[in-house]
Amino acid sequence: MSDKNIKFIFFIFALLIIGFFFSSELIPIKNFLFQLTSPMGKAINQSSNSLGSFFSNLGKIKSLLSENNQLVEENNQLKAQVAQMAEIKHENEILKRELGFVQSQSGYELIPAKVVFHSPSSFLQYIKIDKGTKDGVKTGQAVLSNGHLLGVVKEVSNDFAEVNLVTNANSLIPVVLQNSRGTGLLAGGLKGLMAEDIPLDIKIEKNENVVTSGLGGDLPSGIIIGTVQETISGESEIFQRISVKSPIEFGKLEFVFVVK
Amino acid sequence: MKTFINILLILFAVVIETTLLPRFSYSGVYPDLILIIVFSLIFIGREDEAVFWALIGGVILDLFSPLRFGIFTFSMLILFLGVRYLVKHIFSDPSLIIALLFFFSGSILLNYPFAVLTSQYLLLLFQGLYTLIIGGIIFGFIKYYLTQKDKITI
Repeated sequence: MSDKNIKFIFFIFALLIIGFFFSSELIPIKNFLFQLTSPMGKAINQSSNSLGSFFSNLGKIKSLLSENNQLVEENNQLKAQVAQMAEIKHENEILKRELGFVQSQSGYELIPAKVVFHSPSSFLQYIKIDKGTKDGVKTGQAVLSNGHLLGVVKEVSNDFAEVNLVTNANSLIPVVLQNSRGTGLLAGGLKGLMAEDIPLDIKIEKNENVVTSGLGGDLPSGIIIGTVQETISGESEIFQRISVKSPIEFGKLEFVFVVK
Repeated sequence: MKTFINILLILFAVVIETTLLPRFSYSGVYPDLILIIVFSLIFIGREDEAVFWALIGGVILDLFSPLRFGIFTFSMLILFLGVRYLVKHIFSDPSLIIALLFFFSGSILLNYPFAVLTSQYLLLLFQGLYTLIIGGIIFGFIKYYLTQKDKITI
């Protein structure tokens, strides 16, 4: 190896030691790098999405027609249901007022954001979004995709925010099963999403919704995460463990919403 | 000028690793592009470029990472020195099979600290296999392209 390379290695090594102890001081450099590369990241994200969907749609042309007819039918049914629900909501509001309940806030204020980068290692499971403190993003806020919980804001700078995905092995989210009302903790990892520590006396239904419980106060309650796929705990275990299926394709995220 | 172009190429490779490759993830795993390029450059005898890619690539990956600065750079440096030693003293002009084994084990070693942090050791095998497959393709491409370029220069 040439002398020039050895000097270069020592230079980077010195930089590394300084950087290790002053990691927090590197935020402006990180921000500059993200500012520089985010247009490229966004463009690649967008073009690869449209290219991917173009090729996948080519193979689906046959089934699209019948699927379209089905959807039209479903849409008509849903329209009818929406009309009924509006009536029920109106009735519900009147009854609540009569009974003296304070109206809870059902809708969230959302901040739309574009996904700029994924983590450089598959193990870290986080994404970088193009909204930061100047847009009202704060640490601990929930991030949604297609109405489902995607992750939690971990770190925020002026222009960017880092979102810890629910698939991260270190993420733990208090959840509740919507029908059986069993509570547990949702964890990510290699085997997919798992809800653990659900009491044994709870009768879990397949395909019931898993939503945030709001325990601990970090996340709002009632945000859907996915549906129950199967119970995987053994008979000898003192708690139940279930696998949860999320409809989100975590590798193909383009737009997300931060819950303000 | 060559250094500047190399830095731009490294930056582009990191952006590809953090935007395009996650779209082809399997079980949440996607290959380590910078590692593949560094190893490929060592295999074809471009040591000077390999050390540059390892260190600047490591620094940029560290800046993209939420962890403490230095983990990627340090791992890349150690892997570069280890592979360079093995290629120089034992596997000079490595065959494709040897190259694939290097990609597999290199990826496992690079990601081992993250596997410890997240207690996901089985995922390391997936990571190694995926990097091995993509590494084989990229190595073939880099070898062909740079050999052709050298021939034209001569």
